[in-house]
Amino acid sequence: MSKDNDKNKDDEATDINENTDANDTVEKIGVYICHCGGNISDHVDVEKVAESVKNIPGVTKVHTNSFMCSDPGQELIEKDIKSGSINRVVVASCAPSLHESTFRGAIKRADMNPFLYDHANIREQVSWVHDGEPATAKASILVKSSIEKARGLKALDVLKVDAKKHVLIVGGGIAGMRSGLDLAKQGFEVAILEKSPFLGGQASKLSRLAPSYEYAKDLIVELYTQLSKQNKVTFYTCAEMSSFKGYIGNFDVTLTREPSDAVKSKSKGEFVENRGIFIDNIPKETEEIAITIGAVVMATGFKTYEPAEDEFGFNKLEPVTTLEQFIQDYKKAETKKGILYLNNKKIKRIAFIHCVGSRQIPGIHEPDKNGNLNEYCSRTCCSSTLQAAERIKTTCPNTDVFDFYRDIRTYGRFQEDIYDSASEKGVMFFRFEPDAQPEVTENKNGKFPISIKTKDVLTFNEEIEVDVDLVVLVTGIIPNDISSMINMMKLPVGTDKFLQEVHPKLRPVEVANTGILLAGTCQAPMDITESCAAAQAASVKATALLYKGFVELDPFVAQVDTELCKGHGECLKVCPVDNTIEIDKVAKVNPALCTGCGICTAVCPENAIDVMGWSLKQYEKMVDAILAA
Amino acid sequence: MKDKNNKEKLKSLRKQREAFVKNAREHIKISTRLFKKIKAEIKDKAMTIPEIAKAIEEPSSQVLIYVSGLKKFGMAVEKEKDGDYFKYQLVAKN
Amino acid sequence: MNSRKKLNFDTVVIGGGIAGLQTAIDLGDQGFKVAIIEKDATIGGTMIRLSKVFPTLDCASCITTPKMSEAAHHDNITLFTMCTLNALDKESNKVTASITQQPRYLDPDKCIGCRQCEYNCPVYVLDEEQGDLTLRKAAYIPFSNAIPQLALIDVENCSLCGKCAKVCPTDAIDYFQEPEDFIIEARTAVVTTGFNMTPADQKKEYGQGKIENVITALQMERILAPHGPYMRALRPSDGKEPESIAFIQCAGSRDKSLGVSYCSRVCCMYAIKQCMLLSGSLPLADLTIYYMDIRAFGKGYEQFYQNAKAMGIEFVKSKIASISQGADQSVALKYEAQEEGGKLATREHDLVVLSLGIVPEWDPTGICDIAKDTDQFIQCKMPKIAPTITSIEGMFTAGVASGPKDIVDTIAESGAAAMEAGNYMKHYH
Ligand SMILES: Cc1cc2nc3c(=O)[nH]c(=O)nc-3n(C[C@H](O)[C@H](O)[C@H](O)COP(=O)(O)OP(=O)(O)OC[C@H]3O[C@@H](n4cnc5c(N)ncnc54)[C@H](O)[C@@H]3O)c2cc1C
Ligand code: SF4
Ligand code: SF4
Repeated sequence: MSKDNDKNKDDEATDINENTDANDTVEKIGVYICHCGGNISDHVDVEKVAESVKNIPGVTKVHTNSFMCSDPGQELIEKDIKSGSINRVVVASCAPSLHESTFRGAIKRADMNPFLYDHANIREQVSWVHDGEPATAKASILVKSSIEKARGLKALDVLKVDAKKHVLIVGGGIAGMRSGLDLAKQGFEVAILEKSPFLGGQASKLSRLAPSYEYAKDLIVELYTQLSKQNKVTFYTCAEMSSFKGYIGNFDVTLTREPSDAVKSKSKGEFVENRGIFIDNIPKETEEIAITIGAVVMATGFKTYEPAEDEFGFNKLEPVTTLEQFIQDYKKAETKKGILYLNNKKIKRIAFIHCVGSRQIPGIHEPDKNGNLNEYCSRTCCSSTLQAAERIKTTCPNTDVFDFYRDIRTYGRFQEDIYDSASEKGVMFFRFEPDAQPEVTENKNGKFPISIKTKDVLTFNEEIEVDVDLVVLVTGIIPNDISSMINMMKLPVGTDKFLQEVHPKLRPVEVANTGILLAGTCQAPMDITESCAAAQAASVKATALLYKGFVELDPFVAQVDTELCKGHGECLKVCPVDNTIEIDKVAKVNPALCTGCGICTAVCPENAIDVMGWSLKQYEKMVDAILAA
Repeated sequence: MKDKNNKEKLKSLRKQREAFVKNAREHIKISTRLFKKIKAEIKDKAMTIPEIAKAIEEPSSQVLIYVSGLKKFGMAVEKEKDGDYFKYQLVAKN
Repeated sequence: MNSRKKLNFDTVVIGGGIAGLQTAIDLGDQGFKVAIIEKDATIGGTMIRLSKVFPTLDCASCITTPKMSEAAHHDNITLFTMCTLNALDKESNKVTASITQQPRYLDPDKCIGCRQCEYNCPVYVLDEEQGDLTLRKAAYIPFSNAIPQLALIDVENCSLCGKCAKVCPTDAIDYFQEPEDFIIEARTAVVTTGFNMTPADQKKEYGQGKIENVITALQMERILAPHGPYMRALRPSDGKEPESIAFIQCAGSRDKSLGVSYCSRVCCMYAIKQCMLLSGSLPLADLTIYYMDIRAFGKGYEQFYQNAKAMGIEFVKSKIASISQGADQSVALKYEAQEEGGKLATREHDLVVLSLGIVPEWDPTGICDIAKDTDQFIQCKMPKIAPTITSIEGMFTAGVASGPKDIVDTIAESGAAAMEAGNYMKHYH
């Protein structure tokens, strides 16, 4: 049988001006220009760009290819290196964030130093924003400047730093517990940071879960039971992060634990309804704990949207509640003659209104006091509402259930069954448009305290009025307020206020800061299945980062020429990262902390500090190339 | 291995895979016929798919498949648009 | 047949789509040795065959090739393409996969992917990689970024004329190649066999596939892809640049009469995406989506939907009563217009896309004892807190194999499967 990877292949490359007698100190630059299907070549004349650089001294190979990132594309580079025709690589294609590692890999396979490579972005910076002659001209300039930069490249080694096999999980909800369990099983030390005295988070408030009808409590207890069998897990409850420093492999974190007056009578490990598993080690007084960890999993979860004053009568009309409150009340509900009783009140008719605080549209919905609109769908509320509606109709068939919705989003596995079952059992559906929201008013003289008016799309925009005993607002998901951590850890946040991943498909559980991973609803609305999948994906990334005991970092960091440095300390003054530069006669840089921002190079009066791979000289050459064009 | 595909052996293999070979020959027959007719039409002038279809009396959907095949293998190119339709022409060397 | 070869790995991954690739990469990155078994001639699954992907509108090849190439070049990952899985058993802590590798009719160690065989082959057949909208040869490479870049001969359409053998510069062609059986023994298995679309011809009301210019969503993906059959958007009946294009949602999903009662989860979003791409290439075209509910639930998806509305894409709440051939090869849709008093209305479009649903690609019956659920996808034993665990210990699942999912959710779940498999190997072996 045949294994289908890593074979050596040939191609039909043509030599341009092969530099046969050069030794390896002479730059021999290979230039590889990508069509990107048509993404680039529809707007840039790729052949013309190739033509424009092929006579530049030092350029020994120029290739174009429909997908440089494909195997045949990469093999062009490998072959040229192996044949000795090139010792520097310039790839002109999409943004380096997509494929830098692909091409470094190809270069490495050909036994050349992967940092003898520069990348010109002629897609995002050219073909997607320009067209025709100017696009071709700009692409050609960018490639030329990249060639000049490549000339000055030196072989670099990746930085290896020791990494602690110790992970901090921020948040003790279901995603945090899930991730903690995975990492403990890996043999890592795990610290779970939780601000309340309980584990389980928001799920503790839930009852039966859509669509499996499992009890949330059982899942939390199951995870906790497994976690408590692991011997390297520490629960830091009643705690918040108070400082955060360091870099992947070695983050220094302080946690502050505060006393709490929460239920002390409970014993450790007991599940408290609506709160979670009680961890009985509440501190007597404020304590500070310092730990050093290798990676962080953010699992800070969500809270439910709180409707504005009088939004659908909220906080103004008594019989208007939220889904979150309803689920908790429903745990203690009673049934008499097939009619629902909640908090001892007879509920003959109940209505649910979907998308409250979700799917808000600029120009139609009112922003909150901070000017925010939640434009996203909260994803979980349709199923949980329909399941609640279905439960009511099953146990209390004589209570009428009305459901006011925009779209029913029972997208997940077995969720559509709930929708079908709810319809079959007689839940009545009304559909409204976002710009004609149902109106909830007090019904002073009627049999029912509340009246809901809407234009129903399902009956062809008929005006409908329904009188009910209780209105449940299906409130959505918003991220927890973790602004202090966002500031301390410099976490990226999206316009929707959730934490922002690097790329939803290529690196979905990582943030731009290496060593920090995302799990669950701190990233976006998700149900328990999806939160656990994301948490396990974060666990696997943390494992891959730390399991060797060291991590490898890009070598693009500041380096001091100790011959030139006079120890003025100007660099120290401007360096934005604490503790990166130290002056001991001359400046010393901690490469693990240095982000390679290059601010120091601009202020050094001796020109003694430079960023490796991005030196001032290289920049000058690049600028010259741009100006010459 | 040099003679792994030698004439004698191929012959007996053709026998063994008779149905497949027949199938393939049928495809060759259809495509040769269609390509010939299409190429004759668009050799010297660019035409739209409905125009070619009408000229050679074949269904236009079929003509589109074969013209796009010609394009894919570098034998025809797309030319200017005429109303809602693009025109296609054979490249010179064919 | 010579005695069967036996190979050992830590994990055997069944299916080389994005789920299988991500699982293999995440396991390989933990130091485990992984084999990927793929039935096609290339890895990449559905994702590499898409145009652009919602909601970021990245071009699909641009974000699939890095994963394909990472897997292909990974020290710990071995790819096996063109493989049929005959049996997958679990016994005493050992997974045994019995596999037949179908012949490419050429020596993969010699083939250099130069395509000389393809250029010289005289047989033209419909190109299934392009939705049957253009032609390919009987000797061919599936597409330009296929991995591995090896040709194959479609034996059922090969005339055995001998041309390719003559032109092949490395003498790779071997018409006599036979299927080869081998066995992989591993400690764990991950099932990532993905999906297929519901058939386009199953619904009588929709014309059973006989109406011109009614195409499937995957055909539309190809039409919109950078290397598509026409390199622009045309309708297949006669090459007209369509002025009006419609999408029919839930065609094949949420329909008990078809045995697919569930929602296929991606079709709302891919239809919106295709409309956005069409409005880019055909700015004057009328674009209409006929739907029951728009399910834009993922991160950034609702905003994507609202943008589409703001761009002028028309969303019509309705049920399609029937599809028939209209005048001049157009397609006539009869539908109940909810917003117009529920009357039956008819509209004609140049091109109609069926947003077909998703069904499992692989049926384990007779091959593996792994349990299916009522929806026929692989059953998840602990769907909430360990979504990748199956009915068989040591076998895991990810991606659409365990229910419809978009790429983002598939990738997260693949990481989860790699975590479970890794921990399983650490503890129970
Ligand atoms: C028209 C359309 C458009 C879409 N657009 C988008 C989009 O824009 N954005 C987005 O996020 N999602 C989109 N999706 C969804 C996306 O395609 C899926 O989420 C994703 O491809 C699932 O990956 P997978 O690996 O699970 O399955 P697949 O891609 O199906 O991969 C499964 C692989 O397993 C192989 N296989 C199957 N059975 C066997 C076997 N027995 N032995 C060996 N190998 C086997 C198959 O050949 C295949 O290579 C779209 C889907 C469709 C239908
Ligand atoms: S899940 Fe349903 S109720 Fe919740 S925001 Fe989305 S559409 Fe609205
Ligand atoms: S995603 Fe949309 S089109 Fe697809 S089945 Fe679900 S509701 Fe229907």
